[in-house]
Amino acid sequence: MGFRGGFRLRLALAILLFAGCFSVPALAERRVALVVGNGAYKNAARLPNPKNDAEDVAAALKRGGFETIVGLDLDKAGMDDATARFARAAREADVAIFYYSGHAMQFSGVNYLMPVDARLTDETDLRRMVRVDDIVADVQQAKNLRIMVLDSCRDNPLAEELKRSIGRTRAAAVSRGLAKIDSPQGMIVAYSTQSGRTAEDGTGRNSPYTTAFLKHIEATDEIGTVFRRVSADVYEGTKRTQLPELSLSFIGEFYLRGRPTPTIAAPSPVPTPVNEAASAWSVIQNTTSQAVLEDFIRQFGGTIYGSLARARLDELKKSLVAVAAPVAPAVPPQLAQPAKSAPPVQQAVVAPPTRPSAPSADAPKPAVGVFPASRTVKIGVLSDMSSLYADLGGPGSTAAAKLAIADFAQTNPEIKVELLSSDHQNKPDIGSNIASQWFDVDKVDMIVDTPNSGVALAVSQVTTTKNKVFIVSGAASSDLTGPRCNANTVHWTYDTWMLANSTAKAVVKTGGNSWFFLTADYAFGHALERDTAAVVEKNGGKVLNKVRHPLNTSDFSSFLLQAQASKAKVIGLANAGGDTLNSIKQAAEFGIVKGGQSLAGLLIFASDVNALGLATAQGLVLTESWYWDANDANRAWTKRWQTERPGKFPNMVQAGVYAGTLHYLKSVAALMSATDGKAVVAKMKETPTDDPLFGKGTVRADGRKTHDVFLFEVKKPSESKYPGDLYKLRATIPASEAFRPLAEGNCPLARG
Amino acid sequence: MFEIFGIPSNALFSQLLIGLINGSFYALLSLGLAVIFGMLNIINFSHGAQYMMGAFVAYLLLQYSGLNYWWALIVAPILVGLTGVLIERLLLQWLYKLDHLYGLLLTFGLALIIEGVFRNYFGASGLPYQVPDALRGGTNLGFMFLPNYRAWVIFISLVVCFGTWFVIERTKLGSNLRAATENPTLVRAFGINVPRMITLTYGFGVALAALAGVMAAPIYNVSPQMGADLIIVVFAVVVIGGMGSIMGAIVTGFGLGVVEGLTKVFFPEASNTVIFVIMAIVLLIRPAGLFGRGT
Repeated sequence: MGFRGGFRLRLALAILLFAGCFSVPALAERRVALVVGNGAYKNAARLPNPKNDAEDVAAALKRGGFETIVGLDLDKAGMDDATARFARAAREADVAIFYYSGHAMQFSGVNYLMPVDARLTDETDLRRMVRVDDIVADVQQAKNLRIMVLDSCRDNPLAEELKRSIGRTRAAAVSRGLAKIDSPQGMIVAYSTQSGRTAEDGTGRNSPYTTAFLKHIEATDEIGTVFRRVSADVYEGTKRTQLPELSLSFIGEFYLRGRPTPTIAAPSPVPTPVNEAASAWSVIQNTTSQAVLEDFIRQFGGTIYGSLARARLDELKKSLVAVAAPVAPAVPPQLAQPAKSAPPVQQAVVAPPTRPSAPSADAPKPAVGVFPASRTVKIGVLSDMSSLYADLGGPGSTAAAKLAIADFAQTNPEIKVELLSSDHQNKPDIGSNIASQWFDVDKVDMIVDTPNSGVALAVSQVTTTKNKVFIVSGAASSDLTGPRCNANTVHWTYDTWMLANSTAKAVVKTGGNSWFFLTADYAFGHALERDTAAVVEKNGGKVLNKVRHPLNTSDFSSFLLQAQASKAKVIGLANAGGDTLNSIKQAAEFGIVKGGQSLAGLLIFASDVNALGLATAQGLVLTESWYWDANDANRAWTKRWQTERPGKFPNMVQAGVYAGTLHYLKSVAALMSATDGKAVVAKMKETPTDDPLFGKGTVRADGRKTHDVFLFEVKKPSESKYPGDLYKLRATIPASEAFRPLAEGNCPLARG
Repeated sequence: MFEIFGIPSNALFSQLLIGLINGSFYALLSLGLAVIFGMLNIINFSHGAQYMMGAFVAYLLLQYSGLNYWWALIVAPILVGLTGVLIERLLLQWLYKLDHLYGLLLTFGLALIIEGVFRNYFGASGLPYQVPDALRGGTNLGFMFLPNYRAWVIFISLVVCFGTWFVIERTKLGSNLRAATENPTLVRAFGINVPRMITLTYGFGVALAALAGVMAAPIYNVSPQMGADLIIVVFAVVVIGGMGSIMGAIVTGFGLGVVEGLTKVFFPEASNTVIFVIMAIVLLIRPAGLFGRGT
């Protein structure tokens, strides 16, 4: 929908806005929460419950209309990141809650929260912790009510270590509980135990304090009453060993549920014209609609806000003369949504008041700082949903994209993201048709995944014509960032050059210096063979011979016999999918590996190894850029992914879909616009990437995303301890070496 | 060592043998198709899907009930054959009076559904299945290394093909069957339960496909599309041999395997095409196929 219909529509929406504003004033309130649960400590006693505590509390707060940032088992960087996000959100919030469950300690009267990677040998290491005071400062930014809940002071051996290390003289300064926080006005600070004491972690799903907190937080009572009841429950529940401490320092009454209006220190609950004007102004102050402002002046002309609105209106009129009537998203975001779907939290205040609130005369782009509310960001997962590559991308990619959107929503709840998915059936014409339709009719902003190089190249072409964004994770061809690169395409996960380079190099270096290629007889196979042969020869090996087989051959015995007869040390499989699987399976049967020759799979994925079984695939060397079992972050993400795909394991393509989508959304948020695909991709290239799965990296000028890649060896069946346990790491290839040098790709973008 | 057309004789012999092995798969599959077409006049397009089911049942038996390959050889064809019986009773029996095209469309639809269902449950990339222990390893024949399992495939295929041919062409049961195809009404008048015989024949044809599937599981990738990859070739084999001709299916199955094997040495890029080239030529010269009865 556009705004061509113009004035009447805007007027109608404006009226709707005002009606909405005054009948449900509570909607003008924004609530934010940061919930942290740290349990998986590396150097201190692990706590089983904080994670559950945090999850449950977060769920309860979300139900209560809080925009909740949840952090589970955060390390120092993670906590800093989460608190920074929270600080930003709290700045514009009316109510802010910080909830923490995990180890904490005090030292010299300063309180510290412990990240999971905290290590404590002496005082200096205290810097590895998070100071509670900093968070207090964050929380205090909220306008009306600030709540700190610290379910901690749990048994903490690190404090003992510190005590030992700094010796007796100062031992008194280290204490296992938290020191009392001076609670400033309008603040509730709730400790799970008295100052200086430790609290129980509990034997059930939640700690005693959180159990009680969850029981009462959703009650309709006044907030002070709620916390008093929590304390009473904990005291009774722990057989009177643990008495929570509560500090309430605000005047008036506040209701999380029930009474809709926060009336902190408000002498009278009846809205006066000035109050009314204030809340209305907070909603419309960033509007660029004259109609809205005129209506506002009509109603509140006598107040101070009326004068503000008049000034705004004059400014606007001036800028409209200067700029030839831009098609401006004229109304605040929530108007784009039907009234009934409006969340309990009013999103009208999304535009940070600190940003320039109106287009100035010299800025042609309207509404900088306000995300164009008339349309959401739409992402399409275009993949093979039902055949050959469905395990590679497919529904698993859709699940990954969903996770990216969910994570993004935690930091940027004001930007609405919608997800579509479709099946390209491995046919370039179908793929490009879907892409065109998505861009033209459904207003999709970005397409992601798309295994099958043929389809990906076609879609890339469509994307650049329509100036949208295409993030390739599933397709292999290095041409996407080579001769056929464009300014709208980012190639995320891997490509043929990278696979050939790292696998072939490793094999040649370990003595495999004579090669025989088994090549699929089409463009992809030829390219892979060419790239690999170049690497082999560059590293001192030689290519003895090759045989080209038709695509989708089921019997390879004849070709394998030729390979066997060549006496080459390595048989390079420049093919993919079923062809590779059949070659490997039959090579085992013909005793090729036992006979001393080895196989080098150039395009093999975890799903292929599963299909072969470890007994057949063992010893195979292959390259991937991501493996689910490589580290804790990957495992944690896998767990989340598996809620949608139970019993399956994500692969690098799906991880790439997640990371690519996340980076895209961050760039969109930074630009506050998804309209101009080239601009978004430029932003993606300009911003270093950082996500939990691929770590830090960059998107190069040619659209190539670079990160470290890994050379794995497939485990023997006896080494595999649990489902999905497939690889052992042989080598890590740093990002700078893993991908084709920028200058060698013949990408026109890289030349300038 | 001497050379033939520039190819070392060793290589040539081994490729001939390999061709024969592939031929035995073609023969097994086209045999089932030929039996079904010869007796029911149904072009069974779901044959590839049923072959795939055979391989999957073998995998499932191993995975969930611990029945190994040898059991699978017997159990899988019976189970898949039973689904064939079901399909015949529920669907196919209503189509005999209609044009061939209807049977073809029905079975083609079934094939798509079956493949889709398997893909949905097992994914597209395939499942592992190992060569049974007793057949691991191989024998060095001097000119090539022959895996024991491949030898076993040739053996079984020859036994089954000959057995089937013998039953249909040389026994009383077979003659009844053939008579029932010619003139069902008359055969019924002799007190023979023709519909039941037809049902069992379809079940048998399907069981042959499943048997081929079990045989293929240890050497080919067990995936939902494994049948689709093979079925087109097998249809070409049946057409070349003559639709419905049992002997034709067997002989052309083995023969084309050998031709294909040789192509892989001389001109590997054409190995997928050569069968269709032969098919085109045969259809031009003998439209009823090499062994067709020329209806």
